[in-house]
Amino acid sequence: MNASVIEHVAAIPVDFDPAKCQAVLNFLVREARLADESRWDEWEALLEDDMLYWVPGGVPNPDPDTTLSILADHRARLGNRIAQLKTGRRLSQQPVSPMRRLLSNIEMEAISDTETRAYANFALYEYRVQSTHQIVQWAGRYEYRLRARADGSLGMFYKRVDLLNAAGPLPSLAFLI
Amino acid sequence: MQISSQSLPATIPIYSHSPPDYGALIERDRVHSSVYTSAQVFDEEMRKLFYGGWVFVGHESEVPNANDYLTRMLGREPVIMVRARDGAINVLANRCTHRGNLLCPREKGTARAFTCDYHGWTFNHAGELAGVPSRGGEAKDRACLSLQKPALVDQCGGFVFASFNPDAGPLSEHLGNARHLIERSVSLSPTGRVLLNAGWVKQHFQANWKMLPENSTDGYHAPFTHASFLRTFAPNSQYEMLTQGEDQRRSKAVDWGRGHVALEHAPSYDRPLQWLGTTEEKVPDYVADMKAAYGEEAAIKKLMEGPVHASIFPNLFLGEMNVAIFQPISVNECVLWHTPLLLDGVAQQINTRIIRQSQAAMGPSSFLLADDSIISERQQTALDGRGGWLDLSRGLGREETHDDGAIWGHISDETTNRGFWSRYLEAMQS
Repeated sequence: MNASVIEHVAAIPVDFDPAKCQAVLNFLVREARLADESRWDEWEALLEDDMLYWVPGGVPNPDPDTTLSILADHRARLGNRIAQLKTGRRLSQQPVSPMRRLLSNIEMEAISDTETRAYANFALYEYRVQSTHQIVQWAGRYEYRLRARADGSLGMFYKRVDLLNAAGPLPSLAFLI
Repeated sequence: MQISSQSLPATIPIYSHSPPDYGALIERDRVHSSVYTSAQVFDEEMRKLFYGGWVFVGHESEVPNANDYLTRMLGREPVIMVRARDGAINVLANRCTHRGNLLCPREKGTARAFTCDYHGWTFNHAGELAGVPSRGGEAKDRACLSLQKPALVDQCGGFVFASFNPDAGPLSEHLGNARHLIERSVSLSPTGRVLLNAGWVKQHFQANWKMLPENSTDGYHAPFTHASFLRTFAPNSQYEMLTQGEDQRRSKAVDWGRGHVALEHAPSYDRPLQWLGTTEEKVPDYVADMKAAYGEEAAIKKLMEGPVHASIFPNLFLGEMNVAIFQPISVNECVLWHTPLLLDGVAQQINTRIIRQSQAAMGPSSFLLADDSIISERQQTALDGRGGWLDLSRGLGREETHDDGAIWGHISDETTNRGFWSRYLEAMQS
């Protein structure tokens, strides 16, 4: 494995293909925007069939099969999650939360010629318009795994969200984080 | 049957020097909003329900080995639950008797003794003061400096309960019929032991804690609050029964007495293991182990009936294959803890299924509870002003009292919430 890790966007190592790096960055920013704007169909189109969407619970050494997660969706369940949002009767996202998230401290490494792993810190501001009318701050780290598709675009087959306060009480988290 | 007039707009002072007249706020068929919004009522609940009665602390499987401990809040009182070296489980106030520091700040861990970070006082697993730095200044008998602890601690099915009130009576009396509910869920394990060791997820509600037990055993709201869930998931699943019309529903709402109430889903199941969304053919080893443990007939009965869906007054919920804790924070804030009810002596594949179902049903990102918390928060907003009465009359005309004192109603009836409030009233008036 020819892994190239960058500490920051400004510090792309010379042996990491700049075009590939830019494509990953573009993907992350677009994925974040689609999630922020609850554009579920377009977000879902980014997914590969072997997707795992995982928000671990606040336990040491989390494992989606043996420890309780906040969510751990394989592709089918994630499809159901999106279908539920689209019914228009998902009360916790009715109306949808206005949200904006910031990505930073992005790192990437190659998994293989066609697959890339990326990490980012995030800060997400959610306006809880359904009930308390307060802004909630969500913060943590994302891990993404992306795969080059036949048409040259990228697809996502893994997104892990480690919340700073995964062990603490969390308000309703029904949007795509 | 006496049905109250809906016209009386009772108003309760926010705080007065005399206790509220609970009998005027809680009637058989309605409850006044001030019990959800008054800080004075909240303070009295801590004293009468959480310190004066029995409350759930934790499960023995959470502290499997000697020296294992966890910390919890009983009402607003921080406690430590520890497995002593002799195997006994002790519950201690988590507060140093010297300067009142939180003795043990971690949620769980392993400790041979508890040493305060402030001045280094050390307490053993029985709560006795075992060590003090700079002994020359000691001026008091150590025996009077032990940690406070609940007067009573007892277990049922590994579930540890405690009471700070020496006169709370035995746990068996507090549980009454609920003992059988706990035992029924626990006996889904072929070894008779359940494991609460997958971790807890905590969901925050900007709402009064009593909405948790109420909503947890409300069999009426699912087709409305959870319409999006049913539309997405119910077809060909164990949740299909929730979409049936009023006359088709076979599940029941049951008031087992003493505030312990349940939604009984067993009458809705047509085959063993339907509650787990699987069949005997798919988990033959589990079925065989159950038969070996309990006998053919009893095992099939257990696998047919499945787990209970019961609220154990005041703070424990056995939500089918989930265990939940209702934790009050303040009059308008609470936390719902949940963990899957894992079975000892079964293949990992079964417990993984239980974990996945738990994530689907409970917690902030679940397909169900994520929506319930929004309703509770909207209720709290709606009740916070002038307030008024909340109706509890549904099904009063069609429930039946059985020989054991349990009251059985239609699944959509408020039999369960009336059972909660009846016990609440009794406890608050005591």
